[in-house]
Amino acid sequence: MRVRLRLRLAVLAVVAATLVAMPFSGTTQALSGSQFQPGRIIDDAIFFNSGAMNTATIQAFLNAKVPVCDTNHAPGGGFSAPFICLKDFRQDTPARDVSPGLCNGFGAGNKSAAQIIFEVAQSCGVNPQVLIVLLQKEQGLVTDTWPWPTQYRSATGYGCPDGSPCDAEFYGFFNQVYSAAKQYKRYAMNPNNYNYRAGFNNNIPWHPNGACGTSNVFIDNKATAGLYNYTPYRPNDAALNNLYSTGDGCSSYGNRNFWRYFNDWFGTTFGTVLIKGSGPTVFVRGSNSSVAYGIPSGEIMRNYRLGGIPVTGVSDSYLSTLNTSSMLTTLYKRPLDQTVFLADSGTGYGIPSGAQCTKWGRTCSIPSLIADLPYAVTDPMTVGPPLGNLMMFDNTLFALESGAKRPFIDRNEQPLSPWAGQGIITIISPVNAAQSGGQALIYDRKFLKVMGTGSIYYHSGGSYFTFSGFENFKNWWDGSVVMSDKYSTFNSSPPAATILPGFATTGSETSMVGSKNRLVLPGSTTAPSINTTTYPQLTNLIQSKPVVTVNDTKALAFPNGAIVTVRGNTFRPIPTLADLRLLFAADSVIPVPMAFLEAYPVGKLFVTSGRVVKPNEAGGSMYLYGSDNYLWALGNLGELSSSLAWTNSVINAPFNVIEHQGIKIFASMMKMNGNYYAVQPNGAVRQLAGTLLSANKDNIAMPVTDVITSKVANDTRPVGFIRLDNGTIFKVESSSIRPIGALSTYFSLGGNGANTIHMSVKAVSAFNVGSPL
Amino acid sequence: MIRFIVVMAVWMKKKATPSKRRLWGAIILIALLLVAAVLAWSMLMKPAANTDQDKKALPSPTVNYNPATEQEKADSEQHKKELEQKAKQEQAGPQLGVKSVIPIISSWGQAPDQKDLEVAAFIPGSYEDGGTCTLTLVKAGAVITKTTAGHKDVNRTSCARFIVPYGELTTGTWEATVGYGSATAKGTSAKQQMEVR
Repeated sequence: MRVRLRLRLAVLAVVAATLVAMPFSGTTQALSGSQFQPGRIIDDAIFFNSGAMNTATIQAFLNAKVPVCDTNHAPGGGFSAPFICLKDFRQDTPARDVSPGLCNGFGAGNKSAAQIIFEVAQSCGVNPQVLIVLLQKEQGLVTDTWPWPTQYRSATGYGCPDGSPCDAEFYGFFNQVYSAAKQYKRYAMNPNNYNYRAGFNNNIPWHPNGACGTSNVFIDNKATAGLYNYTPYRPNDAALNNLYSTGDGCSSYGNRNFWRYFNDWFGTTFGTVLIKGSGPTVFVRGSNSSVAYGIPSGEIMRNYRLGGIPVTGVSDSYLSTLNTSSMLTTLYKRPLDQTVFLADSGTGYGIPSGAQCTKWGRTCSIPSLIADLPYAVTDPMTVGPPLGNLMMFDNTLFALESGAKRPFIDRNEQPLSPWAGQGIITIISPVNAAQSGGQALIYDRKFLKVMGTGSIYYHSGGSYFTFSGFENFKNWWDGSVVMSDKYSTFNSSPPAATILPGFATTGSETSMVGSKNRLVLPGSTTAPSINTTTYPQLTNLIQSKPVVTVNDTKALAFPNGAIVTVRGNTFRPIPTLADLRLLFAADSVIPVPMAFLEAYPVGKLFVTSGRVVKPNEAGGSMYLYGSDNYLWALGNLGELSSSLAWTNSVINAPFNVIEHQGIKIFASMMKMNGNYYAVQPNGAVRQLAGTLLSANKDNIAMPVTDVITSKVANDTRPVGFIRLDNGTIFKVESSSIRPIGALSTYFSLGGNGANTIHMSVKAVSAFNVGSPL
Repeated sequence: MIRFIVVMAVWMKKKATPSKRRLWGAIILIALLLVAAVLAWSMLMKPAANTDQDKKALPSPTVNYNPATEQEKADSEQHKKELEQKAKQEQAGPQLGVKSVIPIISSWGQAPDQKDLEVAAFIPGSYEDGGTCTLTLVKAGAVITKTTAGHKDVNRTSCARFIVPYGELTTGTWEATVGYGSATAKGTSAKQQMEVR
């Protein structure tokens, strides 16, 4: 029973002790050397986080590490009591001047170690935890219960080469801490001046003994480069595999111990970049860890390439301790750098001056608009060239002026502009191209379409011309290259422009500017025309197209199918396709735009002589068109069939569109080229000797000219007899025709089908009629 | 935790005799005192929260306020032993003559804009101003030499950065060495191949 009671006592004691100890358990996970990343020992966001602790928390930390100082320890190392632990250490500190870009100076006074650590951290922008760990890894000062004066004298190992005495110039606790912090800042500010650089391949020895060799390390960030610059050795596997002990003869421990102590005492050396409370807003940490910037949109996030970075959840109460009053824009600064950058899709473009910032429509003089971001955010960004005056966005080249973006209507015109030869920054993010649109930049003769209004303009010689419609525009330009303008002021305030008519006059010549060619009019026109004497800037455009002279050999084909010819400053429609073929060669048919219709009034149908016309109102009556502009009425189907033999088509049209002086009766007789012919039923003609004909012949014979004469077959056989359609037969004599009384006479005189022609009774009056035979 | 101790006490009370109950009472009292002491200690150790400086400080949930571990204390003691050893070496006086050193070529690369080759080097075991660093580049019979001054760095001698203009180089692999010479130290680095593009 007693044994069991003791056992229970022991169990209870163990349980109680465990429960009591739990809240003070330090690290929750054992640190392993395999976690050491030689290129990323610590992130910049942690290393330069000067606000990580304050004097009170530093003091509390030092107190906690050495709860009881062994002040009266026995003499050792040549030193005697009293020994002063770091938590109790004080010294008179000298004043230090400001070192621009490095440290903000230091005030004189009698200060504790915690005060010195804190104030140096604030002055130089270094995490006080870094300085605490530095004191420990260099001299073991933080955990030493009876430290020696020499440990304070060279507290951070500054000026202490391996194998040689320390440099007296840097003796003293404050001197050491301040010098080390300032040196870390030098490494970050002027990385090119030191041995190891972030973003470079670095050759780092394992040990001061050169025989141990070196290794190549790509250093991720400035803080890690700083650690290697301060302690230029990399821990080898033996040192890392025995993280809390010693390795082998080539092991170095400085950077290992820095990393180990920092992890053991202050947690991870990797900084969180994005944080979020219970609200929807994600914040990016500032380089000052007490500041976080709300990220207003995914677009802003993309500009910093923050999309792939995990977001760490934090409590709202913690978030409330941060200054979150500013939102992230695309303007930012890097730590230790006063240059303002413009972030655009992962590239940072330095803004060389406030004036340049204004040009881009931004304000660089208001701190709340510019995020001070940590290296963890800024280092992964590509550094682009400084912002100049030219921006390429949305395939448009812009010149930035007074906060507005002036689009080049044609980017190839940059060499003509005041910005010739200047560099161009390509902007991806719309938020960086949100400047208001400025005046369009357009130098050469160009057509542009203003997208905001849909209007198209031609710019030449400083003047703008516009068009009454798209058809009109197409006539002036074949549309092959028209620049779009989405951004200039023209979109809201159109330019003063002259509306181009369809015609242009140069000197005495008036022409229509067509899409493919220029149609020179044969005579004067009443259509609106623009004169190149007034607008010489149009001359080039007008004269750039091949000339087609319109005359009566040309048929003009309109897009609606109408085909006309010009006669006497009048459009005369060609009645049918047969007329077109009859009158014009294929290459004389010229396509013309509808607007060409403005050139002349439209007259009556252009009917050539010899054509069969069937007026709509004539009840089926048909006429032959004579070159005397008379309609010659056909009396029977025989006359019709003979006429159709010439063109085989009929023009159907009302009387009022057929130009005619009146109606005559067709008598199967016509006059061509000064000769008179009898029209035969097959359409062929037989010439009649002029001596046979009376003075009335021109009233009887229908005159024809032009092309029809070539369509009529001329039967040249001699005409000996004329047989009228009433059966009367005449003998053709030398100067008259004489009626034949009997058919036998006809035959006896040698009449036959070959020498006998057919004519209408109506034709008789055209002849000199002699006495009967 | 207090609730747990009370439950344990009730459990013990049911199982023990009166004399043993007195013993248990004493044990529980000691446990409670222990808890109170720990709570008070932790309150004392908690940072004050009323100063302006505290308001600036971030919460540090990961700060380890535990006393130094035995390992950490041993590290400090070990360091003092090393200091004693170093002091003895220093008392023995500096090494006579010219010390042999092995410079380290620490980093190299081409500048992104001009493509100049930049080389950095330092000399472990040396801490002085006034020495001369010499970079020698060799490629297919071509030899380029540049010299810079050595200067004191935190705990060593560093060479001012060598800059070899791109115009003096040809593309390909160059073999580089850095030599150092001063009144007190002399040596040459291991060969390092450098690719010039």
